[in-house]
Amino acid sequence: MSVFLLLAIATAPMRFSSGSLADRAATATVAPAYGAQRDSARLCLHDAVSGTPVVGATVVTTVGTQLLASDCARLPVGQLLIRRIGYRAQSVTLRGDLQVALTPLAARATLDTVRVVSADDDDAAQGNRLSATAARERGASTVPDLVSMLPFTQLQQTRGATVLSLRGARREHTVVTLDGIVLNDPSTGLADIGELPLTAINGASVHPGAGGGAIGGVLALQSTTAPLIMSRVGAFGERAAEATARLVTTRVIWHGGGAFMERRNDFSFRNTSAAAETAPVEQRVNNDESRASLFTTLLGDRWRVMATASRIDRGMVGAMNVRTYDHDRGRTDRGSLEAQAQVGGAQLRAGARVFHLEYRDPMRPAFDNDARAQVLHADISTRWKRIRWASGAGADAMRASNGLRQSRSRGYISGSIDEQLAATRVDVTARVDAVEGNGVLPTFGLGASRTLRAVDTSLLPGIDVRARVAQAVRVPTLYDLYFSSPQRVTVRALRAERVLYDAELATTLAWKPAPLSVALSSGLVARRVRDAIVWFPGNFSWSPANVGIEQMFGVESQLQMASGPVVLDGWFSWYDSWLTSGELRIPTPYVSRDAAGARVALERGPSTLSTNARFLGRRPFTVGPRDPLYELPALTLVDVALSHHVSLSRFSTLLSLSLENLTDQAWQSVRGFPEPGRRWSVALFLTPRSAR
Amino acid sequence: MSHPAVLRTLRHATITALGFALVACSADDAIRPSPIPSRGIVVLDGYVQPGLTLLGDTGTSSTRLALGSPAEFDAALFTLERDTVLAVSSRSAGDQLFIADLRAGTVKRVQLPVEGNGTRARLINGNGTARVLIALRDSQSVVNVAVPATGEATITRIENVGQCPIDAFRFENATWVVDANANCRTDYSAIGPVRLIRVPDAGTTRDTIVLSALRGSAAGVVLKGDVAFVTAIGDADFSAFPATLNAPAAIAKVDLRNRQVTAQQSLPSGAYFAVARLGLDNALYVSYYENLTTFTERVMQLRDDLTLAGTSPTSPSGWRLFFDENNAEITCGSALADALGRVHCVSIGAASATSVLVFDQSGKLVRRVAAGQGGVDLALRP
Repeated sequence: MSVFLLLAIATAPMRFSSGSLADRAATATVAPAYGAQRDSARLCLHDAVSGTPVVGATVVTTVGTQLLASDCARLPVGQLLIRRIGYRAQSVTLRGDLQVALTPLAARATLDTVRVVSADDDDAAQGNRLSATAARERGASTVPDLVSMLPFTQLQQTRGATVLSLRGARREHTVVTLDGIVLNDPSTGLADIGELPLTAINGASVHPGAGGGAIGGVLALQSTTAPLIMSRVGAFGERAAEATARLVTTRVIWHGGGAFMERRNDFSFRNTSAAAETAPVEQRVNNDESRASLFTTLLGDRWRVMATASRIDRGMVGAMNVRTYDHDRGRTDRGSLEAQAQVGGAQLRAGARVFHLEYRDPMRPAFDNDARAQVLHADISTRWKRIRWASGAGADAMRASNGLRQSRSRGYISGSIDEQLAATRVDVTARVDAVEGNGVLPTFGLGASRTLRAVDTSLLPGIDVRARVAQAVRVPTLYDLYFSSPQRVTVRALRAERVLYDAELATTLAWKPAPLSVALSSGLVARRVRDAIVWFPGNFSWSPANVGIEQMFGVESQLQMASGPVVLDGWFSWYDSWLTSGELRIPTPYVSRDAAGARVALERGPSTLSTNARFLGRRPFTVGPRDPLYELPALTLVDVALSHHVSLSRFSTLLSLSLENLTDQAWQSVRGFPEPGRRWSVALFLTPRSAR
Repeated sequence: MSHPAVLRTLRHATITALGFALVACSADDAIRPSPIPSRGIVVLDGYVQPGLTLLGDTGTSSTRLALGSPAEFDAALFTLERDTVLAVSSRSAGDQLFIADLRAGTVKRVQLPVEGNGTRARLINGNGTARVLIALRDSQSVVNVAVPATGEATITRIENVGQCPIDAFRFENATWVVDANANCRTDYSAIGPVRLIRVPDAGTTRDTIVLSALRGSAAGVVLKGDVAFVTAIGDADFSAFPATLNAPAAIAKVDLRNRQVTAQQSLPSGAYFAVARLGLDNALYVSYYENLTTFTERVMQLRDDLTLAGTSPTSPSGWRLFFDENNAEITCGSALADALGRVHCVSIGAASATSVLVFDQSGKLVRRVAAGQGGVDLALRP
């Protein structure tokens, strides 16, 4: 508790003073020059993917160059060039007040190789994204909270880590990026989406489908430079504080912050794995966790440096009926340093990430383990005539105290063309990866979208159709390689998984008769993967192997409605995803055939009442044939939140009360690992009024 | 549209969507149960979807009896006594005793002492209240579990029976315990040779028989009259790469009545993880890995004096040679023979798919039948 209070107290003054500095800097650079002139207009910038405000852009006007400390500024009318590191430069003509959506380069760099209809280009996909601000108003105070509000997401939680499955794929098939930087651990292929605090995030978008090393899809997180203070208390001993601050000079914007969270997680649960005929009610032990993180960004006209560091300590509790892990502890440290620069027409990027995992078993110190992984990478992206090029190289390494050592280098080159051919927009992409030990791995993508009827205010719907087919490849993780033989003695050849095709055919119908706005998007999806890398447990045969063909057919549908103060987002997916090996037909573990979600928000004045409901069908939990005995039951989870804005002289405050799992469902995300029942949290957010 | 009307519409839309989801959920391609055969082959599928696969003497149809989820069941061996199957999950799966009645198709579970870390259960009385003997590796004890037909099980302990008691049996008013003599509570490293400890029902004097050729963190016993055949898996060090074998698997013959070791035999150099089974032809079948490099499964047939049976094609190292339909050599594990001397064994394929293979006395494959996934042990119901 003392750490919690210290952090909150220590960061508060910094936050307040920096807000003032930001205010003064913004005033100094923008307001005196044009604020009072009649030939000026207001320009506001936001992220085209997350929809959140973008600060730190450089605007080249007829009278000079300015670094904007805010997302909005008053500028002279006329031709403007807007530059922001990490975003595509845009030239606009300012005649009156103008909102400009900046397209993030990094998100495209990750997705571009096969994703030909990306969210930033496609109105139908607007519901695939959510800003952190909107999520907070709907009760979210962590990144997993935010992601659970995104469509087509299936979260899995065990031992404090939260991972994501998309489009009927396994969890290691989802790539998580922060500003285009892949966050997945090269050792395991997984990314814990709870690693980053929500205050470091501007917003998130989810992109189901293969591409950029992802087989199931990409969760793209965007960082923020907005100052904010958050304090939260909740059930089961949850306490959290997060604070970010911003300092602005005429040349550089500094943004940094820290976060701390701890919770006991000692909730009651029904032990359905016990030998007793009636499942006894027990209390979870050694399930606590604490997370601390620091992050900072320096942003200049044509460069950016970002660093993050985090530490997670947690009890490594076992399955509900197993007591042998009741003393085990785990610690995960992560760090990253990323630099970007704009040189001429090219964007350069280089970075390093480190992971350190400690496992401690006080009862059996011989099983203590330390594992370290390092990632280095450098990329360049540019445009040559109509082709956008990107290429990069990197290296991954891992070593552990049990003698495990793996390393490899990798590189890629990709090109894409995005053309408007009459009424049809066409994207063609090609990418070649070269990974040490895996050879050269080419992938291709092709997509097209066409507006058959533009949306208007009549009762006839606007109609968009789009089609996409893409390939992807996923090389074995470093753990896969190490354990790909019985008892780690001989390394059995393990080939890369290859998405032969990931196809999608979708249509969007949109109506906008005032005051109603409706968009209904539906699509058929299919995927076929060769050489799927699957772990089959056993005694002396515990190892991953290339096993058969993995296939998926499915339907994805999404509905968005808005009418005055009421906003509804709903989605439904049905996936039949299975692995074929010899006579065996094995459904993909932990993927429910049917899933649905709905978000409803009712805004009235400064208050928002929202609910987020998620339905998960039965989920198989083994790598065996479908059998109801080995499936987790279907369930519906309902979260409710009430938030209220209060404007103070220098701050905008948001008070949020959340009730998660309102109906107190007893459920398991991963077999044997119970989730808490009904729980509450109260969060307070403070934003300086000068931050906007 | 008024706000209440919008909300009502949204509520109906949500309920309808969830209804569609539930309807779609109801379709599946689940396994259908079939009648349990009264005799034949019993395979323990120890992982993926733990359970027993029951096969007849002929045909390809099988019956499954589920034992639990992988978080609750991890046994690699089981005991078959007439129509009762006993298996024990370790500390990593919650320390539970599983008692399956093959005739009734039912499974009863009993909670064992937490972190006892048992491996194998032996039925010592199957009438009325079943009595089951289980060695608990991590508590240096053996428990006698009384399981009534209805009601709670009761557990009594015999304490201080070696460093790592791993198997136990009853013989002439005494409980005999196989002590692997290893650090089973920590890293399973060997401390010394495997021992057989006799704990008499009356009195406090215990006898310890040292099996000097046997080392390893796991061992087991096969009883044949007043003789016990004890196998140890061998002592290997997996903490560094490459793994090293300090002592190969070995087998010892103990005269229980005279409490003497009458023979000891190391398996071929490199042999690891040996488990002996008594065939219905009264011969000993020892299954093991040939080495720590390829983990190729081998089967050796031994006489009672621990010499090679030598009745079938064997390799120069002494393991039985088996051939498929195309006369190509194939391997398998968990082997034992029926009364006709036909070897039955378990073969694991891609995706842990399990097959039971049956070979005639010349080693030629005469039957191959699917038996679930993750097969780890096999027994025959005469």
